[in-house]
Amino acid sequence: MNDRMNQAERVHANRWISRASEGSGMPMNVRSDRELVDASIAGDTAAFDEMMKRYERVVFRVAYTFCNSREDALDITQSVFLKAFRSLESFRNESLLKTWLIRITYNESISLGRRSKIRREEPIDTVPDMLLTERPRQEEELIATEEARRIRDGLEKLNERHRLAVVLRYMHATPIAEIAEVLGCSDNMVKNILFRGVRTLKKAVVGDR
Amino acid sequence: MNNTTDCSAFAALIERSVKNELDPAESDLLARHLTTCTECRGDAEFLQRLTSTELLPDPSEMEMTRMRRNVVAQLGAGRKNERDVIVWLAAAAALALIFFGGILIGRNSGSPDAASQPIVQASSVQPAAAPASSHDGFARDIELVASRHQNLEDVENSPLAFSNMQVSEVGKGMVNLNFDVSRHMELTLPKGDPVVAEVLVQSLIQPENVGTKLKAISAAQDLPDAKVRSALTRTMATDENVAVRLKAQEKLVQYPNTAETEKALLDVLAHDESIQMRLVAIDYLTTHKVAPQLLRNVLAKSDAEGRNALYLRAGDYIQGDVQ
Repeated sequence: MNDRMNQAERVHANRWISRASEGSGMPMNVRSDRELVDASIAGDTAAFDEMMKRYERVVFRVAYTFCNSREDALDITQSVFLKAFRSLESFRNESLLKTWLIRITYNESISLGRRSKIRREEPIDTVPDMLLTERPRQEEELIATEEARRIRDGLEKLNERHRLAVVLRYMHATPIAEIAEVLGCSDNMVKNILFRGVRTLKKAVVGDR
Repeated sequence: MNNTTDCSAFAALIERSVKNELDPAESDLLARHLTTCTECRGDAEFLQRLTSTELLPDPSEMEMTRMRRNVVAQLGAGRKNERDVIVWLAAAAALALIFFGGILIGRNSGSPDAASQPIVQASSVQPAAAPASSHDGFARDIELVASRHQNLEDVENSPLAFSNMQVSEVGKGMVNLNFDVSRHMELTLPKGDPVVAEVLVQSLIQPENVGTKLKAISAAQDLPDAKVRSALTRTMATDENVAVRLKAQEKLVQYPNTAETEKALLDVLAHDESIQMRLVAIDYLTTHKVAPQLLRNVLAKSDAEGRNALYLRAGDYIQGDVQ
């Protein structure tokens, strides 16, 4: 363990050296997810930094789907990467790093959602009803168009699994097989979920027109 | 409206058409169907709208840089805690060495060459006092860390995060634990052991599977440990799976009444989607004489579904107070 930490300390000074592979100009020596995981376990903080850069956007956006708050989504993103790091040794090649992180994000978001729901609504005798239903307006303002607002409202009518599937598929172009891995079900079940999810969403968004 | 055609088959084509994944023949087939099926045409148009609308904000580079910096800083703090533990363990080992060395020297003091015997030979007693297996030393590290955790927050910030946890009761007050923590561990310990409590809590707060959580809750039955109790309370309030929430509730209501339990059960009564859990909550709260006025307020604000059943169950208790 000492060796690991010494190694971590050695690489610490270089941790902000970017080896990111974003954009079209990917360097030749881009490390695979597995390499990043192994290096992170060995204490290479720069590798973990690279991993965060690779997946922070999808983690943030999935979190935002459930909390509707930029601040909460940032907190969840941070918490997801902390938990991921602490559990890296249990991560095996049985799943993709991306789907593993999305699953942690989903669990974390649901957990925070339930906690904040309870926080918002207590103490039961003293919180005015108006406050219980008020949504974070400044976050809504970030969603620019009326169309987007309608769809977002519709998304909230979907159950959590359906919402996650729809967002991953249509906002992140995630392959069906990866969504199945995240949700722990078959490809056919995902297709079924997407079909029903889109129908429900469509009804919520355009049903009254 | 819909034709007799099976629209679910076309749903897959519509779905793939949004991603431009159709070959010309499929495209043609879909186009023909859309001319006759308004429902599917609506789906196709809606999917186009859905994919072309920017619904979710992107994080700024500054926000992400700050987030990454926080993560690295917290990981650094975690490592410092690990180092502290190791330093502490090293100090303890050194003291033990001196202690056993002293005994050895004491025993040998009668021999003529005792004075000339170097203390370092005390290490020769080490094999007898050494762990029976290579895992035992690490198990003691885990026990030390676990015994320092007093509350849920301590466990959440633990430098040792377990995964792939399995908990099974093996009778006579013993629990078998299987988990990974940089290596696989298998331990059989009394229910009251701090490592058992640590694994139970971690299995409840980590994203473990439902079976693991249910078994952990079962094993928690005789453990009125504060952090286990808090973990059960949180599980009852936040777990996604209703069977897990219900199981946690069943255990919690067996413990002596506390303000924390009452508050958590009021939350269940107000918000949980499970009628069964809300009924258990109301039974508990009426049995423990929670203020009828408070119960009435909570019931009035609770989800409408099943509210009548709750009023029926609470019946005399809240009615009596009115009169």
